[in-house]
Amino acid sequence: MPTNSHKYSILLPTYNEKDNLPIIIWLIVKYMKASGYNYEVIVIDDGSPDGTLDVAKDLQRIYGEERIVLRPRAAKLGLGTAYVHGIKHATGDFIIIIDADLSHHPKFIPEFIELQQKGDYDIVSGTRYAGNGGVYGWDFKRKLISRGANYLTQVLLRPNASDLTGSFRLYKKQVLEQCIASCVSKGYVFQMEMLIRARQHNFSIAEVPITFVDRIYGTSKLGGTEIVQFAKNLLYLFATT
Amino acid sequence: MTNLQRWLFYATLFAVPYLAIVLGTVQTALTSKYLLHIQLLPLLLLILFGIYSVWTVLYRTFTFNDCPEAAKELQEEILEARKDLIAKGFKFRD
Repeated sequence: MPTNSHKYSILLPTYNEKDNLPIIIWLIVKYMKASGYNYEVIVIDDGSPDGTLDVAKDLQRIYGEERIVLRPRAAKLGLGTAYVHGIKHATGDFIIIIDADLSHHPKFIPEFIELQQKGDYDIVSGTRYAGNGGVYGWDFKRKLISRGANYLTQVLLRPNASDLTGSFRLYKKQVLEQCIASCVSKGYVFQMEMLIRARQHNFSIAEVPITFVDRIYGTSKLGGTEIVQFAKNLLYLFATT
Repeated sequence: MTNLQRWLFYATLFAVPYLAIVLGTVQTALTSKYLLHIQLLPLLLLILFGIYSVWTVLYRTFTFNDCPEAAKELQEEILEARKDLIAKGFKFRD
Protein backbone atom coordinates (compact mmCIF):
# COMPACT_ATOMS: atom_id res chain seq x y z
CA MET A 1 0.00 0.00 0.00
CA PRO A 2 1.55 3.35 -1.03
CA THR A 3 1.31 5.17 2.24
CA ASN A 4 3.26 8.07 3.76
CA SER A 5 3.31 10.32 6.80
CA HIS A 6 1.35 13.12 5.15
CA LYS A 7 -2.27 14.00 5.62
CA TYR A 8 -4.49 15.16 2.81
CA SER A 9 -7.36 17.55 3.50
CA ILE A 10 -9.98 17.38 0.78
CA LEU A 11 -12.04 20.58 0.58
CA LEU A 12 -15.59 20.22 -0.66
CA PRO A 13 -17.41 23.54 -1.01
CA THR A 14 -21.10 22.80 -1.50
CA TYR A 15 -24.23 24.66 -2.38
CA ASN A 16 -27.40 22.67 -3.00
CA GLU A 17 -25.62 19.35 -3.50
CA LYS A 18 -27.83 17.06 -1.40
CA ASP A 19 -27.95 14.43 -4.17
CA ASN A 20 -24.28 14.57 -5.16
CA LEU A 21 -22.71 14.88 -1.71
CA PRO A 22 -23.33 11.29 -0.54
CA ILE A 23 -21.98 9.94 -3.83
CA ILE A 24 -18.85 12.09 -3.95
CA ILE A 25 -18.03 11.27 -0.34
CA TRP A 26 -18.61 7.57 -0.94
CA LEU A 27 -16.24 7.75 -3.92
CA ILE A 28 -13.59 9.67 -1.97
CA VAL A 29 -13.73 7.13 0.85
CA LYS A 30 -13.55 4.25 -1.61
CA TYR A 31 -10.45 5.46 -3.41
CA MET A 32 -8.63 6.97 -0.44
CA LYS A 33 -9.16 3.82 1.58
CA ALA A 34 -7.78 1.70 -1.26
CA SER A 35 -4.73 3.95 -1.63
CA GLY A 36 -3.93 3.97 2.08
CA TYR A 37 -3.20 7.70 2.45
CA ASN A 38 -4.35 9.55 5.55
CA TYR A 39 -7.08 12.05 4.74
CA GLU A 40 -10.04 14.09 5.88
CA VAL A 41 -12.94 15.58 3.95
CA ILE A 42 -13.92 19.11 4.91
CA VAL A 43 -17.43 20.00 3.80
CA ILE A 44 -17.95 23.74 3.54
CA ASP A 45 -21.64 24.25 2.97
CA ASP A 46 -22.82 27.77 2.31
CA GLY A 47 -26.27 27.54 3.90
CA SER A 48 -27.83 25.42 1.13
CA PRO A 49 -31.62 25.64 1.30
CA ASP A 50 -31.92 22.03 0.05
CA GLY A 51 -30.55 20.55 3.28
CA THR A 52 -27.06 19.62 2.08
CA LEU A 53 -25.79 20.14 5.62
CA ASP A 54 -28.21 17.56 7.04
CA VAL A 55 -27.02 15.10 4.42
CA ALA A 56 -23.44 15.86 5.45
CA LYS A 57 -24.32 15.23 9.11
CA ASP A 58 -25.79 11.82 8.22
CA LEU A 59 -22.62 10.98 6.30
CA GLN A 60 -20.51 12.09 9.24
CA ARG A 61 -22.38 9.63 11.45
CA ILE A 62 -21.55 6.84 8.99
CA TYR A 63 -17.91 7.65 8.28
CA GLY A 64 -16.88 9.32 11.54
CA GLU A 65 -15.89 12.81 12.66
CA GLU A 66 -12.23 12.07 11.91
CA ARG A 67 -12.95 11.63 8.22
CA ILE A 68 -15.85 13.97 7.58
CA VAL A 69 -15.41 17.44 9.03
CA LEU A 70 -18.26 19.94 8.78
CA ARG A 71 -17.39 23.60 8.56
CA PRO A 72 -20.58 25.28 7.30
CA ARG A 73 -21.01 28.98 6.69
CA ALA A 74 -24.20 30.99 7.03
CA ALA A 75 -24.45 32.28 3.49
CA LYS A 76 -23.07 31.93 0.00
CA LEU A 77 -19.78 33.79 0.25
CA GLY A 78 -17.82 32.65 -2.77
CA LEU A 79 -15.24 30.05 -3.66
CA GLY A 80 -12.06 31.86 -2.61
CA THR A 81 -13.28 32.52 0.92
CA ALA A 82 -14.64 28.96 1.11
CA TYR A 83 -11.09 27.68 0.55
CA VAL A 84 -9.67 30.10 3.12
CA HIS A 85 -12.31 28.93 5.56
CA GLY A 86 -11.53 25.29 4.80
CA ILE A 87 -7.75 25.74 5.10
CA LYS A 88 -8.19 27.33 8.52
CA HIS A 89 -9.73 24.11 9.78
CA ALA A 90 -7.59 21.69 7.76
CA THR A 91 -5.28 19.45 9.75
CA GLY A 92 -3.50 18.06 6.68
CA ASP A 93 -0.30 19.40 5.14
CA PHE A 94 -1.71 19.00 1.64
CA ILE A 95 -5.00 20.39 0.38
CA ILE A 96 -7.04 18.87 -2.41
CA ILE A 97 -9.83 20.85 -3.99
CA ILE A 98 -12.52 19.08 -5.95
CA ASP A 99 -16.00 19.98 -7.17
CA ALA A 100 -18.84 18.25 -5.36
CA ASP A 101 -21.01 17.96 -8.48
CA LEU A 102 -19.38 14.68 -9.62
CA SER A 103 -17.69 16.26 -12.63
CA HIS A 104 -14.36 15.38 -10.99
CA HIS A 105 -13.79 11.74 -10.14
CA PRO A 106 -12.00 11.03 -6.82
CA LYS A 107 -10.22 8.06 -8.42
CA PHE A 108 -7.66 10.58 -9.70
CA ILE A 109 -6.69 11.78 -6.22
CA PRO A 110 -4.18 8.95 -5.59
CA GLU A 111 -2.62 9.76 -8.98
CA PHE A 112 -2.25 13.41 -7.92
CA ILE A 113 -0.57 12.32 -4.71
CA GLU A 114 1.84 9.91 -6.42
CA LEU A 115 2.89 12.52 -8.97
CA GLN A 116 3.33 15.16 -6.26
CA GLN A 117 5.65 12.87 -4.34
CA LYS A 118 7.66 11.92 -7.40
CA GLY A 119 8.81 15.49 -8.06
CA ASP A 120 7.99 17.24 -4.79
CA TYR A 121 5.72 19.55 -6.78
CA ASP A 122 4.00 22.50 -5.11
CA ILE A 123 0.83 22.01 -7.13
CA VAL A 124 -0.66 19.12 -9.09
CA SER A 125 -3.45 20.19 -11.39
CA GLY A 126 -5.97 18.04 -13.23
CA THR A 127 -6.08 18.71 -16.94
CA ARG A 128 -8.80 17.96 -19.48
CA TYR A 129 -6.62 19.12 -22.33
CA ALA A 130 -3.62 16.79 -22.24
CA GLY A 131 -2.87 13.10 -22.46
CA ASN A 132 -5.86 10.88 -21.85
CA GLY A 133 -7.80 13.74 -20.32
CA GLY A 134 -11.14 14.69 -21.77
CA VAL A 135 -14.74 15.63 -21.23
CA TYR A 136 -18.13 14.03 -21.40
CA GLY A 137 -21.37 15.79 -22.24
CA TRP A 138 -20.00 18.73 -24.19
CA ASP A 139 -21.29 19.61 -27.65
CA PHE A 140 -19.19 21.11 -30.43
CA LYS A 141 -19.96 24.70 -29.41
CA ARG A 142 -18.97 24.13 -25.80
CA LYS A 143 -15.73 22.45 -26.86
CA LEU A 144 -14.96 25.25 -29.30
CA ILE A 145 -15.50 27.96 -26.66
CA SER A 146 -13.41 26.00 -24.17
CA ARG A 147 -10.55 25.44 -26.62
CA GLY A 148 -10.71 29.02 -27.88
CA ALA A 149 -10.60 30.47 -24.39
CA ASN A 150 -7.80 28.11 -23.46
CA TYR A 151 -5.75 29.03 -26.54
CA LEU A 152 -6.19 32.74 -25.87
CA THR A 153 -5.09 32.24 -22.29
CA GLN A 154 -2.02 30.29 -23.37
CA VAL A 155 -1.01 32.99 -25.85
CA LEU A 156 -1.61 35.96 -23.56
CA LEU A 157 -0.57 34.64 -20.16
CA ARG A 158 1.99 31.88 -20.87
CA PRO A 159 0.95 29.79 -17.89
CA ASN A 160 2.92 26.64 -17.19
CA ALA A 161 -0.20 24.51 -17.13
CA SER A 162 -2.58 23.38 -19.85
CA ASP A 163 -5.86 23.60 -17.93
CA LEU A 164 -6.40 26.87 -16.11
CA THR A 165 -10.12 26.88 -15.55
CA GLY A 166 -10.28 23.42 -14.05
CA SER A 167 -10.65 23.23 -10.30
CA PHE A 168 -9.44 19.75 -9.43
CA ARG A 169 -6.06 20.29 -7.82
CA LEU A 170 -3.68 19.35 -5.06
CA TYR A 171 -1.68 22.06 -3.29
CA LYS A 172 0.87 22.15 -0.53
CA LYS A 173 -1.02 23.89 2.23
CA GLN A 174 1.14 27.02 2.47
CA VAL A 175 1.31 27.24 -1.33
CA LEU A 176 -2.46 27.38 -1.53
CA GLU A 177 -2.57 30.02 1.20
CA GLN A 178 -0.06 32.17 -0.68
CA CYS A 179 -1.87 31.79 -4.01
CA ILE A 180 -5.24 32.70 -2.54
CA ALA A 181 -3.75 35.70 -0.72
CA SER A 182 -2.47 37.13 -4.01
CA CYS A 183 -5.68 36.56 -5.98
CA VAL A 184 -8.04 39.42 -6.72
CA SER A 185 -10.73 37.82 -8.90
CA LYS A 186 -13.93 36.13 -7.84
CA GLY A 187 -16.10 33.41 -9.33
CA TYR A 188 -14.85 30.71 -11.63
CA VAL A 189 -12.02 32.80 -13.16
CA PHE A 190 -10.49 32.60 -9.70
CA GLN A 191 -9.17 29.14 -10.66
CA MET A 192 -7.31 30.62 -13.60
CA GLU A 193 -5.76 33.35 -11.52
CA MET A 194 -4.58 30.82 -8.94
CA LEU A 195 -2.24 29.15 -11.43
CA ILE A 196 -1.03 32.48 -12.82
CA ARG A 197 -0.17 33.62 -9.29
CA ALA A 198 1.52 30.27 -8.75
CA ARG A 199 3.78 30.97 -11.72
CA GLN A 200 4.57 34.42 -10.33
CA HIS A 201 5.63 32.84 -7.04
CA ASN A 202 7.72 30.29 -9.00
CA PHE A 203 5.77 27.35 -7.61
CA SER A 204 6.22 24.12 -9.52
CA ILE A 205 3.15 22.70 -11.24
CA ALA A 206 2.61 19.16 -12.51
CA GLU A 207 -0.45 17.86 -14.34
CA VAL A 208 -2.55 14.73 -14.30
CA PRO A 209 -4.92 14.10 -17.21
CA ILE A 210 -8.47 13.81 -15.89
CA THR A 211 -11.85 13.03 -17.37
CA PHE A 212 -14.50 15.64 -16.73
CA VAL A 213 -18.09 14.42 -16.73
CA ASP A 214 -20.32 17.46 -17.03
CA ARG A 215 -23.32 17.48 -14.74
CA ILE A 216 -26.16 15.73 -16.43
CA TYR A 217 -28.70 17.75 -14.48
CA GLY A 218 -28.61 21.50 -14.08
CA THR A 219 -27.47 24.13 -16.52
CA SER A 220 -24.09 24.75 -18.05
CA LYS A 221 -22.27 27.48 -16.20
CA LEU A 222 -20.80 29.07 -19.30
CA GLY A 223 -23.18 31.94 -20.15
CA GLY A 224 -22.66 35.43 -21.53
CA THR A 225 -21.76 36.96 -18.18
CA GLU A 226 -19.14 34.27 -17.58
CA ILE A 227 -17.51 34.99 -20.92
CA VAL A 228 -17.39 38.74 -20.23
CA GLN A 229 -16.00 38.07 -16.76
CA PHE A 230 -13.42 35.71 -18.26
CA ALA A 231 -12.33 38.27 -20.88
CA LYS A 232 -12.02 41.04 -18.29
CA ASN A 233 -9.91 38.91 -16.01
CA LEU A 234 -7.78 37.67 -18.87
CA LEU A 235 -6.95 41.24 -19.88
CA TYR A 236 -6.38 42.26 -16.28
CA LEU A 237 -3.91 39.42 -15.76
CA PHE A 238 -2.31 40.12 -19.15
CA ALA A 239 -1.60 43.72 -18.14
CA THR A 240 -0.50 43.02 -14.58
CA THR A 241 1.39 39.72 -14.55
CA MET B 1 8.09 42.31 -16.96
CA THR B 2 4.35 41.78 -17.36
CA ASN B 3 2.91 40.03 -20.39
CA LEU B 4 1.69 43.34 -21.75
CA GLN B 5 5.15 44.90 -21.42
CA ARG B 6 6.70 41.90 -23.13
CA TRP B 7 4.31 42.26 -26.07
CA LEU B 8 4.99 46.00 -26.30
CA PHE B 9 8.72 45.32 -26.15
CA TYR B 10 8.60 42.95 -29.12
CA ALA B 11 6.20 45.23 -31.01
CA THR B 12 8.70 48.07 -30.56
CA LEU B 13 11.57 45.89 -31.74
CA PHE B 14 9.59 45.32 -34.91
CA ALA B 15 8.12 48.80 -35.31
CA VAL B 16 11.36 50.80 -35.16
CA PRO B 17 13.11 49.30 -38.22
CA TYR B 18 9.77 48.91 -39.97
CA LEU B 19 8.82 52.58 -39.64
CA ALA B 20 12.37 53.65 -40.50
CA ILE B 21 12.09 51.83 -43.81
CA VAL B 22 8.47 52.66 -44.63
CA LEU B 23 8.83 56.35 -43.80
CA GLY B 24 12.04 56.52 -45.83
CA THR B 25 14.46 57.35 -43.03
CA VAL B 26 16.49 54.34 -44.04
CA GLN B 27 16.86 53.82 -47.79
CA THR B 28 18.88 51.12 -49.48
CA ALA B 29 18.61 49.55 -52.92
CA LEU B 30 17.14 46.44 -51.35
CA THR B 31 14.49 48.17 -49.24
CA SER B 32 13.45 50.35 -52.18
CA LYS B 33 13.09 47.32 -54.42
CA TYR B 34 10.91 45.40 -51.92
CA LEU B 35 9.15 48.41 -50.36
CA LEU B 36 5.64 47.15 -51.12
CA HIS B 37 6.42 43.75 -49.62
CA ILE B 38 7.87 45.37 -46.55
CA GLN B 39 4.85 47.67 -46.23
CA LEU B 40 2.54 44.67 -46.32
CA LEU B 41 4.63 42.61 -43.87
CA PRO B 42 2.58 43.39 -40.71
CA LEU B 43 -0.62 42.45 -42.52
CA LEU B 44 0.95 39.21 -43.72
CA LEU B 45 2.18 38.33 -40.24
CA LEU B 46 -1.26 39.09 -38.80
CA ILE B 47 -2.95 36.85 -41.36
CA LEU B 48 -0.47 34.03 -40.71
CA PHE B 49 -1.01 34.30 -36.97
CA GLY B 50 -4.76 34.29 -37.54
CA ILE B 51 -4.60 31.16 -39.69
CA TYR B 52 -2.36 29.44 -37.16
CA SER B 53 -4.75 30.35 -34.32
CA VAL B 54 -7.91 29.23 -36.10
CA TRP B 55 -6.25 26.02 -37.23
CA THR B 56 -4.94 25.26 -33.73
CA VAL B 57 -8.27 25.92 -32.01
CA LEU B 58 -10.25 23.90 -34.54
CA TYR B 59 -7.77 21.03 -34.48
CA ARG B 60 -7.90 20.91 -30.68
CA THR B 61 -11.69 21.13 -30.73
CA PHE B 62 -12.01 18.18 -33.10
CA THR B 63 -9.45 16.13 -31.20
CA PHE B 64 -10.93 16.98 -27.78
CA ASN B 65 -11.28 13.58 -26.09
CA ASP B 66 -14.80 12.34 -25.47
CA CYS B 67 -14.96 10.00 -22.54
CA PRO B 68 -18.25 8.11 -22.60
CA GLU B 69 -16.60 5.29 -20.64
CA ALA B 70 -15.92 7.72 -17.76
CA ALA B 71 -19.60 8.66 -17.70
CA LYS B 72 -20.63 5.02 -17.82
CA GLU B 73 -18.24 4.10 -15.01
CA LEU B 74 -19.61 6.97 -12.92
CA GLN B 75 -23.22 5.92 -13.49
CA GLU B 76 -22.38 2.39 -12.34
CA GLU B 77 -20.55 3.66 -9.29
CA ILE B 78 -23.48 5.93 -8.41
CA LEU B 79 -25.75 2.90 -8.29
CA GLU B 80 -23.17 0.98 -6.25
CA ALA B 81 -22.78 3.93 -3.87
CA ARG B 82 -26.52 4.25 -3.35
CA LYS B 83 -26.86 0.57 -2.55
CA ASP B 84 -23.92 0.60 -0.16
CA LEU B 85 -25.00 3.82 1.59
CA ILE B 86 -28.55 2.56 2.06
CA ALA B 87 -27.09 -0.65 3.55
CA LYS B 88 -25.09 1.56 5.96
CA GLY B 89 -28.34 3.22 7.08
CA PHE B 90 -28.17 6.39 5.00
CA LYS B 91 -31.47 7.85 3.81
CA PHE B 92 -31.47 9.55 0.41
CA ARG B 93 -33.70 12.63 0.29
CA ASP B 94 -35.03 12.43 -3.25
